Amino acid sequence: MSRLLETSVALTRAWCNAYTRGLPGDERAARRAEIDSDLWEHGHDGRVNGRSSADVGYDILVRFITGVPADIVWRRSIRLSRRASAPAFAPVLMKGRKMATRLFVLLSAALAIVLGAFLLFNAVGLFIEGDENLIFGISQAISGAALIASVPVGARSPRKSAALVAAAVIVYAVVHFWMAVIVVPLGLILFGGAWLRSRSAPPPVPQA
Amino acid sequence: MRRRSDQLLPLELDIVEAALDLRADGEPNFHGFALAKRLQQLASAKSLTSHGTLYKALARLERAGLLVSSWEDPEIAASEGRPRRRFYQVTGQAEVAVEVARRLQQQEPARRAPKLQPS
Repeated sequence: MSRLLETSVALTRAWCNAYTRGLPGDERAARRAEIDSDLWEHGHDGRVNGRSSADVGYDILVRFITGVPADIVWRRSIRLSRRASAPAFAPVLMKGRKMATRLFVLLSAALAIVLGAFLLFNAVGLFIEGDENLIFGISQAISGAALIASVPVGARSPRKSAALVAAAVIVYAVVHFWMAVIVVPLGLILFGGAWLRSRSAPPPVPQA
Repeated sequence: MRRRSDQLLPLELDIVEAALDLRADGEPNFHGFALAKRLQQLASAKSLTSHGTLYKALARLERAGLLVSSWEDPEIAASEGRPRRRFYQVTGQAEVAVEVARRLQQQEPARRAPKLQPS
């Protein structure tokens, strides 16, 4: 057996073990067994048809690599379908994680309102000061308004809320680039809260 | 545009047609690799369908009721010194799906595929 064939088979198995890790036992075992069978059949077919083990190894490698996106999609579909059919009771750990997520979302919303109000207040001051600070005033007004608007918008459309937060952070960061050390982490916290809120809706039930 | 969950992909149609072709050749029970070989022959392709694409499509077709699967007797596999095979078979619903697809292709060659019915 050539080194390429051995490596391709090992990589395919290792990848299969990785993307099936954490899945329900029956799905995990079935997929791993099916890939094992396919690998054996592929090698056997090559021997029977007189193909070199290097050629077979190359084919297996290509099949493995080009199938990675579909493997990821498949894994996600299995997890979604299992989550949708999960029993009514929630494990304590899951409940704790949900509460922590909810708290984070609330705090980030409060931070968005406070920061937004501060930026708007500051913008008014900059407009009063005059022409030199106009660009800073405009950027702070836009960012402040977007941050404040993201909170009520989030109740109806969490994705639009996340987009507003992202826009606010980007506008501010571009004009006040020297404050990146503060703006970037704050922006990530705000965007994280908005994004978590957009994900907090129950997952769709997959169709057959 | 996002694909509707009840529509067959072109690959899935190809799989069902390849499965019917295998059945017509006296192989009603086929495993994934055999199907990949038949797909390659029918499409005159250079390479076999990837693992991920093939087995994801087979799982989806099985959930939709166009295929059924069963695992081989482990003693048979052990006696031949190889891993157990998972065999698939086409159902009657699959033949209907292919027929509908052929009719649709004659009407609208560029577009729609038949809908999957939940099993």
